[in-house]
Amino acid sequence: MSLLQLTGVRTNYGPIEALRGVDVTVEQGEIVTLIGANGAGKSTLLMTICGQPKPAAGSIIFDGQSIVDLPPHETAKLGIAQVPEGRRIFPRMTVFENLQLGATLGDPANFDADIAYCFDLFPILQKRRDQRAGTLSGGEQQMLAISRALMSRPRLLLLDEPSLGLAPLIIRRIFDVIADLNKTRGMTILLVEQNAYHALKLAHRAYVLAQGQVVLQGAGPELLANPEVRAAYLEGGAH
Amino acid sequence: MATPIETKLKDSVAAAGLALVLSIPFIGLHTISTDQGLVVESRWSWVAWAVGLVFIGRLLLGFARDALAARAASRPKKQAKPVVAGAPTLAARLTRAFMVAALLFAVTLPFMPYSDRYIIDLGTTVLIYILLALGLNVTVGLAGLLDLGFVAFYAIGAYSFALLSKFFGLDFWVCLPLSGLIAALFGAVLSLPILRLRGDYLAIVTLGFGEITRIVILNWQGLTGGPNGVSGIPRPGLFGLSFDRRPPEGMGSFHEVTGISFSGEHRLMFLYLIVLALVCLAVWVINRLRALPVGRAWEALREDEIACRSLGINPTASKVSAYAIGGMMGGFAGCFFAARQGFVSPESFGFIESALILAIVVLGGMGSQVGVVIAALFIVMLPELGREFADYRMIVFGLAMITIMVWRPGGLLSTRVPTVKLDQKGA
Repeated sequence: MSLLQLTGVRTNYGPIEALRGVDVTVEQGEIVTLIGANGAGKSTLLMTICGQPKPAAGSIIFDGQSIVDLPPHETAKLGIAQVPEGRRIFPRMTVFENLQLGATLGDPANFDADIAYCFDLFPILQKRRDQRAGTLSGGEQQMLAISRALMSRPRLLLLDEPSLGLAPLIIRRIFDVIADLNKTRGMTILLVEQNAYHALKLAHRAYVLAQGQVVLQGAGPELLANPEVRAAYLEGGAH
Repeated sequence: MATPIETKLKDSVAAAGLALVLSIPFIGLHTISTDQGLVVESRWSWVAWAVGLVFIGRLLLGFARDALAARAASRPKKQAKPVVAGAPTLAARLTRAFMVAALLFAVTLPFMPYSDRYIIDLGTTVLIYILLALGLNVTVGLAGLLDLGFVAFYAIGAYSFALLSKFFGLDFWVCLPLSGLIAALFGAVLSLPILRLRGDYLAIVTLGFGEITRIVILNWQGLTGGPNGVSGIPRPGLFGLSFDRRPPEGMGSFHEVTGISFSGEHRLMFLYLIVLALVCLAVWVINRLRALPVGRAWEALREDEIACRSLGINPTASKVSAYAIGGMMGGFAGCFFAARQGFVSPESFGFIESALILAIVVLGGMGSQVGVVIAALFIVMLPELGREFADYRMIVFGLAMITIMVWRPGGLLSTRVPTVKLDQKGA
């Protein structure tokens, strides 16, 4: 059984149809990537999984349980952690306090180990531990946002454009960590990206979203080789 | 960067023009009462003086600014100090020292030889405002939810005690927790309709709540006595001992039991100590809450609501609890206020009170408890100290507010103190 299964999900913002019947599955231990142009409905899809906005139709099954009617803080309790678009760290709080808040749903017994794990993943965060998160650079903030989501030991990690506004070198570092999380911890990841090249390279499977519908799907490398995808999302070749 | 003399002159002329417009009604026209009634008298020479002073002052300010800028430019740039994690900063230590000193001063104040009726009374007023501002600080400062109608909780607390004692004969110590609970309940009820509101809309609804409360109290003659208020509220006693010269039926009196000769000041000192204890309790409780998940959720909510939800924090529960806890503090302050005055009427709970409390929180630097204490001292004491200025003291008050906002736009203490400090092993 799939860890997450979306069937015929439709989400509307008033009269605007953002998702028009999307079917997506994520298996345990997979990295699944969603790519698509601006306004294709990628972020809406992630937010719909979390529970806000609610879909107008369709079903969302997480680990055998329907989560369509749950508000975001309830889906979070089931083990779905989202790293929201634009990082959304708590700027006036310290790095450590941000991580503490990430552990709101976690088992306190795991706290020290999880903190150590995050600091191991991103050593810079340890240096910045008592610094206000708002004073971090964009890349460091993204690292903090990912670490914060990991603190609750989620079963499914939703990443919304982790490469947004970052330097190429930092982007590579972030994607390395994502791949590593999946390999060493078996973390299941649903990744939404504009940076199609990196995102498809590390994905087991991928979906291409356009105008609220899945227009293409397949294994990551397969899509990377697809001429349509190359023309639409990888113009200019690998970066 | 030096500005050319023309610009300076232009600025000064503009300032003088503004001064002219303002000083004609404020200074130039002056009413005196004579046998024929009020007569308006003009004082144009005063206006001329004011305009002249403003012109010269503005000009000098321009030159002073240039001089300062030149000095700053000639000085070598300071190297930014590296942030040392964990180590208490000088500011943190100073704040701590200030708190200890302030507490010592506050506790010993009523026993000092120079403390007379007036000083103790003023101290009590300051402490009431500190208590109110600490409560509002939970909603506005910590949870980031604006509340322009905070005075409603103050009123609800005061009337809870007044009416409970009037109809059920309950005394202060029973009513204190009850008032807090009732106010907290109203806080929770208020928070429900405003869960989805933000910014301007939140301001309007909370403002409305404050006014509705006052107007209901004013018009519900049968229960609240309307504009006549409720009088004869019992004074708080110490373990059943009264501070009156002739204690009411069934109570011992403080001066007889302790053998200290009777003085009316003992009651004032006692009231002062009660509110001081309440303030200390509030500071302690709020500090504890900040370190608990609920308090951290408040601050996270202020920072970013969407991120909160994605981390499994229930924003509804956080908002309701923030308004309830804030309201409870307001309720305690109200209950104490009623006990101190012995009389409550709707007049004490106008919008200006809400504005004053909010000003204390904003001036103190949202979320800072020490800041709130300093700002409350400042805001309550300033008009008192300015009594000699009589009519002009509100001008002095406004000027001081503007100065602070220019000098420290984030409030007196705008740096947030982290709830956790770690050892320095990671530094």
